[in-house]
Amino acid sequence: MKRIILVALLLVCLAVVPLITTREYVLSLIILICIYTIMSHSWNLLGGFTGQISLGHSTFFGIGALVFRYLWLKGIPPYLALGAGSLSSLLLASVIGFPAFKLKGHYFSIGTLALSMIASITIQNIFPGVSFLPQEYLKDYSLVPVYYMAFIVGTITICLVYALTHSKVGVALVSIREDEDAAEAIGVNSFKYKVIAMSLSTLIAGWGGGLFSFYVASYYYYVPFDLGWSFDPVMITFIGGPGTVIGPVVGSVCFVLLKELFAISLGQINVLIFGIVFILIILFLPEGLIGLMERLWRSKGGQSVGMA
Amino acid sequence: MMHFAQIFSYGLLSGALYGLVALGLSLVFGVMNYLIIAHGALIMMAAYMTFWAFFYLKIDPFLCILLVTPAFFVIGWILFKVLYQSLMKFSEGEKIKNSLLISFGLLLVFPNLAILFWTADERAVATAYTGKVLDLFGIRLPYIGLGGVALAIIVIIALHLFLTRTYFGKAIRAVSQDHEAATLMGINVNRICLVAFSMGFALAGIPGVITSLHAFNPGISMDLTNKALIVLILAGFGSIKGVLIGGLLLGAIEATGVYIVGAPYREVFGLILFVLILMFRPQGLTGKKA
Amino acid sequence: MLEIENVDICYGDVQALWDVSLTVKGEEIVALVGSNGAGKTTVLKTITGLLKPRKGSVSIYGVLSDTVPAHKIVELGVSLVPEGRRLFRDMTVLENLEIGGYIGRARNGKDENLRWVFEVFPVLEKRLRQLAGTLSGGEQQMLAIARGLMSEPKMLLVDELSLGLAPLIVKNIYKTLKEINASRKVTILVVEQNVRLALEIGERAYILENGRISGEGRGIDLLNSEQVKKAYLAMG
Repeated sequence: MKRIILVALLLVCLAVVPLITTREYVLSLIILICIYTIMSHSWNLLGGFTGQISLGHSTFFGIGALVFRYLWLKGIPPYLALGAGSLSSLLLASVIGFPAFKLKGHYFSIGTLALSMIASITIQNIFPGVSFLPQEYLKDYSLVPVYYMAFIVGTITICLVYALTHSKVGVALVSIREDEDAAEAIGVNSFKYKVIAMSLSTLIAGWGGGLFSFYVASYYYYVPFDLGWSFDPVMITFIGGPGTVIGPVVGSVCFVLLKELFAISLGQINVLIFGIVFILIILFLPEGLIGLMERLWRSKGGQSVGMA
Repeated sequence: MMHFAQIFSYGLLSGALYGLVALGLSLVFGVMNYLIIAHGALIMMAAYMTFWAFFYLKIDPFLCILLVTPAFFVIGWILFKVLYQSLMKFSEGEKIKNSLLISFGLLLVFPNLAILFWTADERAVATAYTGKVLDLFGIRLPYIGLGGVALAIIVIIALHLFLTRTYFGKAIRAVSQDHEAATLMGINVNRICLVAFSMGFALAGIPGVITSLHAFNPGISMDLTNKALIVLILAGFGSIKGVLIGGLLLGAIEATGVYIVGAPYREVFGLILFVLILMFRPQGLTGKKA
Repeated sequence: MLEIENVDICYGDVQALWDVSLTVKGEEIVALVGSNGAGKTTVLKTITGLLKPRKGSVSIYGVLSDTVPAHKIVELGVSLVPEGRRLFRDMTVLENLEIGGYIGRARNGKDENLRWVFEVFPVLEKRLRQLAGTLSGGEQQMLAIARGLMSEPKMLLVDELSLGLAPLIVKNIYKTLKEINASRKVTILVVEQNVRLALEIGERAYILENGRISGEGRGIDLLNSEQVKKAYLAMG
């Protein structure tokens, strides 16, 4: 019970932020955290819960961004364009993603990596230019609608992931992650569940991309296809805590804040630090920061037993 | 637009280099099933190291090999002891997954480390023979490219002799086939893995040196890793013999692709080929399944 | 000299051996028999250090096996010819034999050992440059045994040699093992599902049932015992 009240309170606070401050900086930060949270949850569904390490999620992020931008600039209302963006992402997944499940283990990982490279290079060549916001849009440009979209979509994403992972489907996914052969042996159709996980995962990645596209006023078309969007969610999820619902959120907050901290100084040093932390976590703290917090909580007297 | 023979020759020269690039990755994967996707980043670091040696110590890049290779062997040794030894406590499946993730982490760390030290600007080592070219029946073959081919052949022959004529080399091959049986023969599998891993790093040093002779920047880490992966799958994962042929084949295919579709899509050909083979014939050309 | 005393072995939480005791003294041929899943391979894995006992001790020529890392066991003089042969299939016959003689002391005697091995198994000399994976079943088993002999062992452990081989070939190989034991004084521990075969060759034998030793004695005596006849030979 306590937990639900806390979460509700948090949501209310987040909802009223734009009413309190118009500082673009604060809104920007929260929007970015939402985008990274969405992307990390997208990856986490397939990677953290189902154990399929995809290194190519930037492809789905990118397609979502591309389709959204195109439709939005044509006058389609943003939320509809977002939906279309995520559906195209899903479509792409059904064409190239599902057959990829033929591959197991690290073959799946490098296969998805190759796919994202193909996408990245192809888009760079077909759409090398910049997408500018036309005059009419620039006039009324404000981050507030973006903020609310980020807030709504982010919340929906988390709720969706929570619901899925606490259902029978979630149990099946975890069983596949732990031991796919054993899962098959007890009757879990691993292909079917992997497809479910990937479908939702790419859907989420799609609307993450659309959100990104809505957020940036102008950008190079190939930016959402950049491999960083494949890599960052992986790091974030592992550092936060793979296979959990809060993990990606915690990780995203750390990531974005760290980025801000070092934004003025040497360029990509936040990725360097994160990379090192990532390696250390793999070796010594496989459950991520969430796992660490849970362990500390438990050792302080096991109060968590009482919480709903 | 250059005529086909010229493009194809460039492709073959590159192909020999691709073979060199993939060698270290192939060895380590064959011996212990670890896919070090950071391999491209290692080569990139070796290129920078060569650049420094040339810039400050005026050592010719080809001679740098004698410096860089042992240095990287040591780095690999240390990294294995520090990072990968800790993996021994996991189960086999977990070990492989975690080794991939660690390698992924290194792929993020090394290029950014490089940016920190050298900035993201392009560098290149320009020697006295940098622009020089051998003209063979109207086809221009850069000396550097020919040097790369010669190097590739020497290294592969040396490696082959090592693996087939020495006890240690045969032990490495035995370990890549069956860890338990190798233990029964009295082979210390952990030590072999350590050495093979370090050799993998050392084998990244050599193509790194060649890379320094062309324009390079930290961003090539990913490209080089791709090349290595593609060659690996063409040759069949874990097969040393097929690596040179795989490399040449990749070079040839890229050249053909460039001739037909144009330079910007050069990488895409190899990548698409990679995905297709991964899906339909993962054991590659030599038929050795991982 | 091999001494296994009151050993318990577990695979994780699953116990496979209970209170197993076994001795093999110099220059004899001992058989360990039991049906599939009785735990025979587990016993061998314990001897060769691939498994460590939870209780009890394994001592090889006076050295406790769990004080020695798995790859050093062969230096103590014990060589295992594993179940399924586990040959290095992509290496030639010669290379397999050479790897068999990997340890230091065996490298000096390589040429002499090869000559002896070819005397015992002449067919291997004919197939010297062939890849081990291309040999016939019987030839592979011979190669596996020969490879085991290359380390100049004092004791040879042979696991399930008869699996997948024609009876005549198996008989011949066992005959050869007897000769090796007699001429080179190599102690042999034979692990077999084929109870009759094992008890015929073994001077002494142990019966393993569900992870416990259920009988021991001279091979011939056990062969004629009621217990064995009923359980394993489908008689009586």
